[in-house]
Amino acid sequence: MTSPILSLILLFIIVAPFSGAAMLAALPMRSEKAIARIAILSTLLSTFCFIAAIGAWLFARIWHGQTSFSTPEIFLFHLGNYRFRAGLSMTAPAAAFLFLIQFTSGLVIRFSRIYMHREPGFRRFFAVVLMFQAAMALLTLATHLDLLFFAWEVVGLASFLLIAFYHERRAPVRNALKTLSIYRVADIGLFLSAFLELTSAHTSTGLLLLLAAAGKSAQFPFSFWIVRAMEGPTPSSALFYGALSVNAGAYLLLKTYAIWSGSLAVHLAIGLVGITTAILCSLFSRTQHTIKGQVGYASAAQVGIIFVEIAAGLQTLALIHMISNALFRCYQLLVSPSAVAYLLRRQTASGQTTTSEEHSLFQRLLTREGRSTLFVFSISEGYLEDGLRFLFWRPLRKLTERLPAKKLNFIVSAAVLIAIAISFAQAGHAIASAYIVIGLAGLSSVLSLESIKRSGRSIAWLFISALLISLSVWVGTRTHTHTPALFYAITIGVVSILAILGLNGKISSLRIATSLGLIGVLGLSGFSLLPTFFGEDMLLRRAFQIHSTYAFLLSCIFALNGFIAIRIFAQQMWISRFEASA
Amino acid sequence: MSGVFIFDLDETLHRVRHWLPQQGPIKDFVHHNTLHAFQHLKFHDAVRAAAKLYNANCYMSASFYLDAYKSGSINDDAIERALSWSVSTPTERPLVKQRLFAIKPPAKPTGERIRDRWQSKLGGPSLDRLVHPILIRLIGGYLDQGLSLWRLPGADQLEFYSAVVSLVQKSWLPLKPLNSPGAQQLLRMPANEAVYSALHRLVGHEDLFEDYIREALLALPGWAGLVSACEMSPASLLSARAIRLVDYAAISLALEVGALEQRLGPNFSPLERDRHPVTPDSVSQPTDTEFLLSIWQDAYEWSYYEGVLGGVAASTGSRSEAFNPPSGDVWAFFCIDDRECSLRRHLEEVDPQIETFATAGFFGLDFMYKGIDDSIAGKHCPVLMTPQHLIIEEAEAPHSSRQTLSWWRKIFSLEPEANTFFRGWVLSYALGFGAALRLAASVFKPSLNRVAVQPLSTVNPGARLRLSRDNNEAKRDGLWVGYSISELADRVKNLLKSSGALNEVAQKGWPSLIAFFGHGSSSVNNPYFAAYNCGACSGRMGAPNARAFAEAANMRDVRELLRQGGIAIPESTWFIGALHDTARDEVTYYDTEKIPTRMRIQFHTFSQRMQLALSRNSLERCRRFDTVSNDIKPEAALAEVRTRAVSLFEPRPEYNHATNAACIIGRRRMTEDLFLDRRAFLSSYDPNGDETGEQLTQMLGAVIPVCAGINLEYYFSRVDPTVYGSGSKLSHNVTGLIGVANGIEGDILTGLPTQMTEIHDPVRLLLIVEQDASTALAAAKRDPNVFEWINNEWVRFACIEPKTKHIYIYAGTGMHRLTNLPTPRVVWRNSLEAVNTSRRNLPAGRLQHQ
Repeated sequence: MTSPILSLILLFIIVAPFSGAAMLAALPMRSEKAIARIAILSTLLSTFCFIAAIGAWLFARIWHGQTSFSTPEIFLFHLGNYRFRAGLSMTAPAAAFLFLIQFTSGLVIRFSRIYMHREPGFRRFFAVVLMFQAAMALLTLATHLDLLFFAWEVVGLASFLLIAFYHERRAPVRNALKTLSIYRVADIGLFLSAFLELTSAHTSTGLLLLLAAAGKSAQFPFSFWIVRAMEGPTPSSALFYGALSVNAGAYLLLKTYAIWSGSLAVHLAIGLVGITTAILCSLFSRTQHTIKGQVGYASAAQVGIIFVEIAAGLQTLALIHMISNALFRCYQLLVSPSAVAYLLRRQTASGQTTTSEEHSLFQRLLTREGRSTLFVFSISEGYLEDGLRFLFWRPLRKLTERLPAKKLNFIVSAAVLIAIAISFAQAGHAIASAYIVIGLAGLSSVLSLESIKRSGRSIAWLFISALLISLSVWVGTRTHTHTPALFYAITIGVVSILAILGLNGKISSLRIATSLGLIGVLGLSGFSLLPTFFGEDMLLRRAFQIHSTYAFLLSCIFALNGFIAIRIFAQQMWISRFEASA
Repeated sequence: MSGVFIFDLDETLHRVRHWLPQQGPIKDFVHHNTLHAFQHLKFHDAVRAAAKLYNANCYMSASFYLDAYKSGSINDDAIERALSWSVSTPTERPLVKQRLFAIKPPAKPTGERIRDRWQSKLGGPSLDRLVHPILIRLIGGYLDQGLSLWRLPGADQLEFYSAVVSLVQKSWLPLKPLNSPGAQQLLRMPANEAVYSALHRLVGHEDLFEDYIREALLALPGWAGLVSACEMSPASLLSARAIRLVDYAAISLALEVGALEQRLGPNFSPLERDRHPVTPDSVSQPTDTEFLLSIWQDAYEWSYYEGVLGGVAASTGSRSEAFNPPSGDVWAFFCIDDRECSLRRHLEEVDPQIETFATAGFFGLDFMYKGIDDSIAGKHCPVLMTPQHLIIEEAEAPHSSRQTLSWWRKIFSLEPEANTFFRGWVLSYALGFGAALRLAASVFKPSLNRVAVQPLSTVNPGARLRLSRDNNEAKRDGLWVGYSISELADRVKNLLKSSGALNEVAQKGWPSLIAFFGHGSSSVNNPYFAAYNCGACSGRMGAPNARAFAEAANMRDVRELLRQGGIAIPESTWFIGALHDTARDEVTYYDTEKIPTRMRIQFHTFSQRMQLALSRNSLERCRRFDTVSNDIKPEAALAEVRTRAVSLFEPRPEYNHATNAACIIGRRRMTEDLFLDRRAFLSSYDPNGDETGEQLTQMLGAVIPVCAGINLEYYFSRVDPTVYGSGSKLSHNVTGLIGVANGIEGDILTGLPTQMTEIHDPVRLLLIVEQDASTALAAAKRDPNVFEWINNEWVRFACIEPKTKHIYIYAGTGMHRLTNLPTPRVVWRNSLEAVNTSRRNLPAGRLQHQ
């Protein structure tokens, strides 16, 4: 059933908060009343449309027996053979999750109207929260993974902006970048699985979806970011890491159930990840001595159990559990400042001043050594952060330290290698040459990271990396047209210029500089629905024709570049400011 | 430097702890001078020295003062006066004034720190980033008072150092960086030796040891200060912990050694000695910008002081003369708190025949109090006093104990058990929906909430106090249970005498009703709840004190003793105790059933008048709340403030002491026709009968620490919200039930959040005493603690001579006469008219009382 009115209603659920966010971002409003009014109206309109859509859906269900309805598909972009599909559909899980989104967003916006009063960044806060609400709604309703990936990225960006809400301090910025790096790794999974969605590679798709879901929902081995993300204002922590964004991964698995449910390996993997997370995060939450840390890990642990339920095929149970857990954690975080008064009252009333460890059965079973080991394991948070840093960050760091200091040498040898690669390609060894050039692209990214304190130079290296990627795909697929590569190169050039303009500090208006810089770096990172994203998408399709390993490498470099681009932004706009004032 | 330098750890730590913040667990938050360590220096010198040590701002920013000048908050007269005090040569003054307006923003003073030199050796992450996360987890896990489910093993029995050593040695998994060989070697020694050896490895020369320890501890000032405070007063922790600063220092330094070994190798060389040790309180010459800013600050203060002093000098006490009340009248006693200053004014406007007094909110009764729902007694007197008595509340009838929460309350709670694996799993299926309903109700219709958490240490109206005791009753926990009759009589007499009430009695006779109002504050979702309560009751509600005093003064035996001592309280006078909830503007009267029948009507009339005064008071308060509209009726204002007090999302339930600026000690006639905009602490005192100033000394000793502490806490949290204050409340994360931090690995935040200080005008407390200049000065000098505040100008000490109305202020060496004080420019008819004028801090103005 695809009535145009219903399609419009579905669309408006997303458009209402999105336009609210756009208004708040673009117009330099100062009146808190006006800002709050826009925010509340947007979310009310969205909720109203939601209720209307639910009504229509129930009607369709009862009278026509349909279990879902969708909007017609439109193509947001096409170039040559490449098409980006966009469509929305309402299903039962979508309805339930959308209820959660509307309820918690509306609640938090109402809560924040007074809570955020007189806080610098009042407008920024509401703009990002509305953007988040729109993106979550889109994530829920998107029919295909392409559009879902866009929503996924916007959610990641919103998280980043709200963790670093207090960007005058080091810790929020550092933790925001840490969280972003995990999100980028998770995004690789979703990015690749969007390709494989229509193929029959169910196991690979499923595992990639699991990677994406695990990253977003703070599952093993990515659990450590969730407690570090509690740096923003309490309502944003409650909304994101209590309720919505932490359950988004589980929802993704539910939504794509049809894709991966045929593969037993995926079921097992999801179940394994879930149970491991549940056990580990419960352990970690026990030694958290801050209330938000405790709730954060407890929430992740419950999501682990939800993963197990999904793996076991108990979809409805998982959905109920998800909604209930989300609401409860949101509540716990919003009332977390009451912890002092509440627990003290309880203690002075009962006379029992400790939750005594001696009483726990589990504790009594352990020896002193066991207890100590468990405690150390728990406060080290399972060495997860150290482990991931060792696997990913240290090699990168070693590489940046070992690269030749003389850039000229590098350029000369790179030029030589490129010449070799092109001759290889002409001689028919297309794949080898593609690998050579993509290796160079990776090195260029690393050089960009190394010179991160000089934003212009860093962006230049990123641009070179992008060019090398285009070249790599081109030499690897000589027989096809070079439109995608050209398109990508040009769009990357444009956003690089934007980024350099915004970030080099020559523009006097901070707002314009920040906006330009942000758009520029988002473009550099291939943020979804920006032209560079379509370029990346097209290149990736070509890459799959070369080899799947090559495609995997390509998406890793895309992810890395994306992270570096945002890191440049943070460095220039925030970090250099407080390093200067220290 | 000649001779052998012998390093004494105890001495060193004793000196170092002096520089640490003094904030203890947040449940006992007490306002105190943030720069207490520098109190022996003059104010401006101290501010500069502290700024260097703590890397903080000295004063407000240059743009703040320039904006204040533009908006008229600083006037030219004040600038002239400030210049005349600071610049000795009159000819230089115009030049300095020119430079004032050309002032450039100052750079933050950076003291050169030894520990910063590790940064260049380490390259990447700083030493703090390697050490602090694990240090915070260890000390947080040790001191935790019931938030985390697993504390550090052995936290109950062992000291911190032994507990950590035991943890590291028994655990099969490594605790980085304590698994490095150097750190392990350190941990095998006892704490003192470990500190010593670690310092040897870190810094080569012993004379720099103290500097290094100080810098290492001040890298996490909140935690170090908390450790020190808990060591000095162990009773402040409900779950006892044997914490010592030396243990904390030992672990901290062992971590540093471990981290450095892991990054630089096992034989890293200690830091070079390339400078002399510094003493933090050495006074240096101010830079030009600092000097100019100090003049701006003085000018800012003088702009306010002139108004108040002029107003006090011009006050005629017309109201007291006009109304000579017959008996059948009411007196009301309040706390000296600045929030009560407006309620007194409104009460007097509602019924001009009511007389009000103010005295420290513990009403002379120093006791430990155990309410019926408390299992632990709390202190209800000023922090510096040590009570010898215990008052217990007992049930009249069998009391349904509130100890066990009803089952459904338990579920919707922050019980840590909801965060475990099994119980969390089961509970999280169902809890969410209930929580959602509860949350929706709290957010969309907060007035439905009751105050969510019953406050500690409060009065239960159905219960009675064990106030008096037989002389033979044994002590409990080293405290007498209850007071003896003579002790009670003494305290009642002292209070009536020191507040000047007895002199009023001599002139006008006894009233029929005397009400004592203690105060407290109720709010939700607020970790700083203790800061809103009565400072004179150590951050608790003054309800038990008010109730106990009234009961004591009504006792037949007590009155008999008083009569023998010369104070004859007639049968027709009745005392009643009550609590004023300053957030909700609500009054609860206690023991109303005991009021004699003949006085019931008077009491009823009085409570109605009080209700009207409360609604007007809330109207006055609402003017400061931006989110409340300007044209609002008193009843609506009352409903508004009560909703605020129970709203989860309201981080500003009331503004507390955010407008404090002055403290006036004297008779009511000095201030009764002044509109002081809730900015003054008022304390009743009669200069007649205190020729020697002995009573004044006592009063100053009680009042100054409390009021100056409050004033300076607000002052410094406003001047530097990130270093001296605790930043914005919105990102606060409750830590271990003993403090708040940012994030999960953050330092404990000391001071007040911006939500409490944002409307505060940073001025030092102006203390005005109604007394002759020589007597006042002698009274101040009699107590060296009091005199330190005054002599070093942490508070500005002024006096007004009762007969001549001349104003004197203490500066430099003695009391100086002030002339050319302006009379109040603004005149209003009554408070309501004043209130409608503007939303910002108003200058002192005259009220015509028509």
